[in-house]
Amino acid sequence: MSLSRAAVLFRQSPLVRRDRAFLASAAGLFLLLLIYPFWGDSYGLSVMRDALIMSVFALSLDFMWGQTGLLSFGHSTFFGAGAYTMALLTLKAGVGSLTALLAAMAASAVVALLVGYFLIYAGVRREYFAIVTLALALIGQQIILSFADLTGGDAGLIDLPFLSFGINGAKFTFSGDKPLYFFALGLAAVVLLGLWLAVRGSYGKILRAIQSSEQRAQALGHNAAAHLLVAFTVSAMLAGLSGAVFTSVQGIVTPELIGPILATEVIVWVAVGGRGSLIGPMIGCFLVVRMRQEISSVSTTLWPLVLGAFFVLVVFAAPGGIMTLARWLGSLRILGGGRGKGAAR
Amino acid sequence: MSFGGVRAVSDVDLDLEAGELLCVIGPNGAGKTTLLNLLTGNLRPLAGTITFSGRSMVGRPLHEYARQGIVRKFQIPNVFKEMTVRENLEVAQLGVSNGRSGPAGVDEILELIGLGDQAGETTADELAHGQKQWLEIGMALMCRPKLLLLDEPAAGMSVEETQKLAEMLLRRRRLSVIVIEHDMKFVRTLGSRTVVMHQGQIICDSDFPTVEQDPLVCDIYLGRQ
Amino acid sequence: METALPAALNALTLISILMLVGLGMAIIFGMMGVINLAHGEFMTLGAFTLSCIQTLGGSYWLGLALAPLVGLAFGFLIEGLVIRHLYSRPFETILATWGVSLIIQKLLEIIFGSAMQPVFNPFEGAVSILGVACPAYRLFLVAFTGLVIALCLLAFRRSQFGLDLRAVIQDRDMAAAMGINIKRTNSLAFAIGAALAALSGVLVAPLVTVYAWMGVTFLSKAFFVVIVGGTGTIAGVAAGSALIGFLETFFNYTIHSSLAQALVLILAVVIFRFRPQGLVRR
Repeated sequence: MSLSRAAVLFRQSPLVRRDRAFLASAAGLFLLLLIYPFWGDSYGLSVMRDALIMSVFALSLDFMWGQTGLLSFGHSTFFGAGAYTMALLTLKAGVGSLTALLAAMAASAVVALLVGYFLIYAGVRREYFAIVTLALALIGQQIILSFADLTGGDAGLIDLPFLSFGINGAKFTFSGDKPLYFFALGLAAVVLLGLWLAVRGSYGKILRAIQSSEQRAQALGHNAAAHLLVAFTVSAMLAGLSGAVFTSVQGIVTPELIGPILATEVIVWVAVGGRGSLIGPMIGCFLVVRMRQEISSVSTTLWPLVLGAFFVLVVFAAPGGIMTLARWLGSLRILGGGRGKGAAR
Repeated sequence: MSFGGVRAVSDVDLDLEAGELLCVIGPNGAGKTTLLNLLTGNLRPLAGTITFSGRSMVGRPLHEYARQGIVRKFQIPNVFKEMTVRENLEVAQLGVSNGRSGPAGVDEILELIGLGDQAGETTADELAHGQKQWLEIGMALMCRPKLLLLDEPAAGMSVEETQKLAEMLLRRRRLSVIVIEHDMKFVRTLGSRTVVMHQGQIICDSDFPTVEQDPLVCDIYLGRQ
Repeated sequence: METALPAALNALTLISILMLVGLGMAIIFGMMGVINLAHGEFMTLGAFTLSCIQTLGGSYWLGLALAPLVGLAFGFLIEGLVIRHLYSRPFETILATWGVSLIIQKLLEIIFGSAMQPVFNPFEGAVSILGVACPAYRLFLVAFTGLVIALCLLAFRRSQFGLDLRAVIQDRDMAAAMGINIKRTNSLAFAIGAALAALSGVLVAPLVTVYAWMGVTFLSKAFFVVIVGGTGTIAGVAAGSALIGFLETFFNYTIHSSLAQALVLILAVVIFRFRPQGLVRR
């Protein structure tokens, strides 16, 4: 792809009312998040920090699901791949943070390219795509569990090195509540902005056209399969990035980060927040993570049960619009011309 | 080309000159749409070749066709329902011409198809049938085609719109067009080379006045075959 | 011969289990177009039924007889509550059945705990075939499964229900016009699929660890069996089971076991890429 072509794809159209609404709500949200450290306690700070990193994961899924309509049911495969790559490289191979982060993204990208190529170019879409990606997550977890001597098996790996980046020999390590929080906030902001630009620009239009009618898009000269594969890979890379950052910040990696439960949760975040709205899934993530905390403190078995019930409810409530929240967020949607559709499609 | 035993199209030998306008008519089931599908790669021929500007088109991926300059307007309007009129055209613009003509190019086409005032806010879904047809034509034109394939473009259009379309086609420059139509008045207005298909074969290939008079053609249309 | 025969028996065991689970899934997925992510849970329910009965002092055979009934019951329940309303929405069915799957798993965990459930093997010993000791239970399993499949085939071809089901699959509206009760046919078909899965759960229970979320591994395998084998025919399920079962056993013997699973997945995806309609044409 030439540079001029890339420039065209990111070309932006003038700001519309929809965009202003998005920018306003994004600004509002981030303002709140910016001042939070000054009245939140240490614990609350770490919770928000984790939620922010997870929201990047949510954004990665929303980018793909919202724009192309393909649901990756096992998106945690990429999150976990990134996490474990990061953990193994920094802990066992002493690799620096930046390199490890890039490697984590690359690992996720490779898996996505391989699986994606075979699925997407075969015309696998919709429910079939969902099943295979689900199987991917199950198997990913299996693999991690069996190579226990390398991955720490069930218990995972601990004492991972902090994120540190060197510029001109000066090392800058992120440790402690506030630095880590602001790192996470910065990351979320950058990803949100980047995706927003991509989505409201020409590229987003092409993806949504492919979602609307793949045949029509092809008849107009768009290589649909290639675009879908690229979207899938980018989505996987972002998921891998969030996984890698998450695990570094936590200092620990466990098989839960690559399993089907997490894959399920991220779908809920996006569905709750409103597929395609970008900001919505972030908020959905915050809300649902909070809910999980509350419920898990009562009983750890209870949460998956609630999650399961939630899934069933989501489906039956979907026809009328998933939640009033999503409908309200629907007015902020940057999905081209969308009229607040139900998210669970 | 056969569908489970029925020969939809056979023994078709057709040559089109650059810039030529060709009408394809024939009763239902004659194989007209199948012919179009073959020309756009949606169907593969069992035998024979399809060449365009000297290049063989058989077996190419679907998106190649538009890139080569073959663009189609579907029989049933197939637009991007949830996207606005302007966005539909923009997507078309991005496909082949890579957005070279910019927003001005979109405005130009909007003007041509008469949807300028609705461009920004109306979703394609909300358009009337005839307007959807025009949108599709607009999208096809955005691809700067060398060969335009129109599948029953006049269907659902008013008399004025049909007239406008005919004028547009007659005014074209260097664009080859194949039109499949049922509307005989429209075909007569175009007054160009016409091909009649029946049961998968071409039975007449001449200018419209001749075709109109041909006894065999009349028989078929009146159902005596 | 020392390893070949037991290995072949292992392969046959896995193939048999896959066939039972796959058959249930082929009916539900391949023929009704319903994607049931809770299918693995029917299997789990069958295994748990066995464990319950045996813990209460009952015999294996009682468990074997009751499990399909339990499956049948749950099948009707879930079809009536959830599936029935989602027939034309495959995507929603995925989400809803995934939710159901989680609910069943966790309810089982809450009731029975997360530890392994005890299950007792009715045939402890080994039988000597051609001088090699083969576990008696596996022989029984393969034979019994063959019997069940044969019965299913017979019922499918000869019974009124089988005829009804085939009619509904071919053309739903026509079948309704001819007076076939679509709702009842679908309901029964789904329940039978669940019963078959529960049966496979009982059969496989003495061979694996029985715990609340054991169904998940078999779920993906079953899907691949149906997708690879070709949806819509029993021959397809047989072909898919044979291939997946054989491949997995083979890889288990030659390389690391969960790498085996990954490899089977990859191969299944590749096969699907080049032959999307499955190995056996409808």
